[in-house]
Amino acid sequence: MAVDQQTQIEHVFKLLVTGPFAAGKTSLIQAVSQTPVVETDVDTTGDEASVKQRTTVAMDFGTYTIDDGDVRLLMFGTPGQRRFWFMTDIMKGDVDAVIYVIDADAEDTHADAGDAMRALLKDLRVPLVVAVNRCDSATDARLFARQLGALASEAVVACQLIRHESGREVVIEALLAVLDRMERGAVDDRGALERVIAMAGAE
Amino acid sequence: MTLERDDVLHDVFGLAETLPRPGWVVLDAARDCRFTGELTFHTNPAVAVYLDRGRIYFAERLGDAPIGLQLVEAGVLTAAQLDHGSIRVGGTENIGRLFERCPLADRDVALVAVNLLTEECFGWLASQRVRAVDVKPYRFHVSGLHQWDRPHGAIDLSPGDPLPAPSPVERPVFVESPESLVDRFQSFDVADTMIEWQERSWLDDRLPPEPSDHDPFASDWIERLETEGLPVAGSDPLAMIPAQLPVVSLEPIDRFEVIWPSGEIDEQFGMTDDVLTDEIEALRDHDRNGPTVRLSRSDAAEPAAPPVGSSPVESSPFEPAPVESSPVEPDAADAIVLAVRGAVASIDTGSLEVRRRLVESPALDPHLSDMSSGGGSTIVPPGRVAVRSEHNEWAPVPVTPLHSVFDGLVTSTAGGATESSTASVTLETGRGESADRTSALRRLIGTLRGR
Repeated sequence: MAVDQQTQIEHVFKLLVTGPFAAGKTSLIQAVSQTPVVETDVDTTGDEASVKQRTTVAMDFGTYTIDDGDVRLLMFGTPGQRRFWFMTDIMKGDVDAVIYVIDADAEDTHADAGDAMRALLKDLRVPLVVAVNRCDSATDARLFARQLGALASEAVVACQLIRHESGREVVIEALLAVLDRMERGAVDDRGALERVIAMAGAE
Repeated sequence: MTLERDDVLHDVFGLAETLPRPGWVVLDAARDCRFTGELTFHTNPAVAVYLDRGRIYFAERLGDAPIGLQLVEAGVLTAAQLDHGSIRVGGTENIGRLFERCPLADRDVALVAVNLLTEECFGWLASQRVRAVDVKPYRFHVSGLHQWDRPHGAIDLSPGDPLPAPSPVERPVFVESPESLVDRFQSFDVADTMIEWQERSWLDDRLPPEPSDHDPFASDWIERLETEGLPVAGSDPLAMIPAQLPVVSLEPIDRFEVIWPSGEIDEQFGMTDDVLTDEIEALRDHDRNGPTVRLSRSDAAEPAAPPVGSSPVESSPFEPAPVESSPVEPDAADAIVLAVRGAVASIDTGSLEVRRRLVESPALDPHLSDMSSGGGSTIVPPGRVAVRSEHNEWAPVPVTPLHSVFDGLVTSTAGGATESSTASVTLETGRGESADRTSALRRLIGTLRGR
């Protein structure tokens, strides 16, 4: 079998952007995506129709690519309406981090958002970043996140997702959390392996 | 109510005239009164103290994280224990029954942790200068912490009270083992009690002989009643016996219609292939392999009203999932289906891309590569790490075969030296892949920052 020595590794990182209805998930993905965001927006029906005219029913999808496609960031946005929450279960597999977007002004959504966030992270061992939209105070954002049930070790970003720079900061924070997890995990794994090998050798 | 100098009417502890005073004075007064409820001290930060008959069971600074989260962060509880042990009603989270719901949680450790937090808080409060105190009698902490000291079902007894009756489940009951029916039967002498009747019965001569090919159901009157109907009143019922209803010729069933819960009608279900060939071609769903259930709705076949509780989302190309029933207009349902289809068709994720290339590239087939090289190739996990050539064409991968770290381990020699070269190589390979991925992530972050 011929072997091409000039091979390159392709790395794919996946972020799940989720949160309650009209929190700013699609705006966050649009802020970063290089390609046109794949949207599944339809006319909003039900009580939420008074909040905004169109809403995501299945998913949003955006990408960011560097190194001629060798390193790719995929961002999956979930629907916010409760009746489409099952899509979150479909999309959450194999993600590297979760960005949970909440609207600081829509406090009536926070109780449900906290329940949903805890339920999501219960069986998903990945870093979490809470993006508190329409919020300028880091202290307030931290308070909102703690009320939702975020741990002190989890990142919280106060953001204005109407501005693209703000959305990019959130994504960077999520990637930093992934990086931190990878570096710590690599150290832990390596340490565990070396201990196993040392123990086997000592016997 | 607020206990202040001017608020004499609500001077619960008799301290209104003396404020401001140190916090310990108010705490002592509350304990002397065997106060039950919440005291909020106007300090900086404000502190809430909760008492139960004069005993301080919890104190916290306003703005602190919920006690459950504090216990998780302190390592007293795991997040799963907290999640399972909490009862959420509305916007509140009650952990009063945590130890009943989660027996593996260490009650003593949790109580010690709560006591430490409480003592630290009201220890600080005792030395503060208190100007005002909000008094809320019989208001317990929202988390239900006051239930931790008293296990569920516990009864408070004062000296002299009679002991309560034991619960039915704890009452010792003497259960007599039932007598075995087999033993009773065996105790009878069957041979002595059995009567054998040898005499011929007078009925034997009067009964007609049974036909040899007797069908027990042929003379069943219920069956005859079904086929012949009830006899006319006054007529001879035996005269109707030979009458047979005409046989109804039923058209053979060769066509079915499936009406889905969403109200859609699938007319092609069960039709023969030759009839459907052209229609299938016209309705072929190109998102999947082969013809699938028709999703578009025919106006002519539209039922009058969709069944209550149906949801148009069930016709999504995704797997059916539990969806709340909600009235969605048919047009909205079609729009949802079209939106989802469009999105799925336009997405080319890393996983899909890699899988597609794996399928299209026979060189990466593990069996073919095994045949051509005698083994030694490895399968690249789709969507995670893929290897490609500079020409963007998929080529065989010069990667060391994956092994367990235990494969190459050799038992230690007499001098204690270990030959674990294979394990070391594997470890180094894992480090290399991890380092590559970390490096890629760093580049990605750097690019995003510099954008």
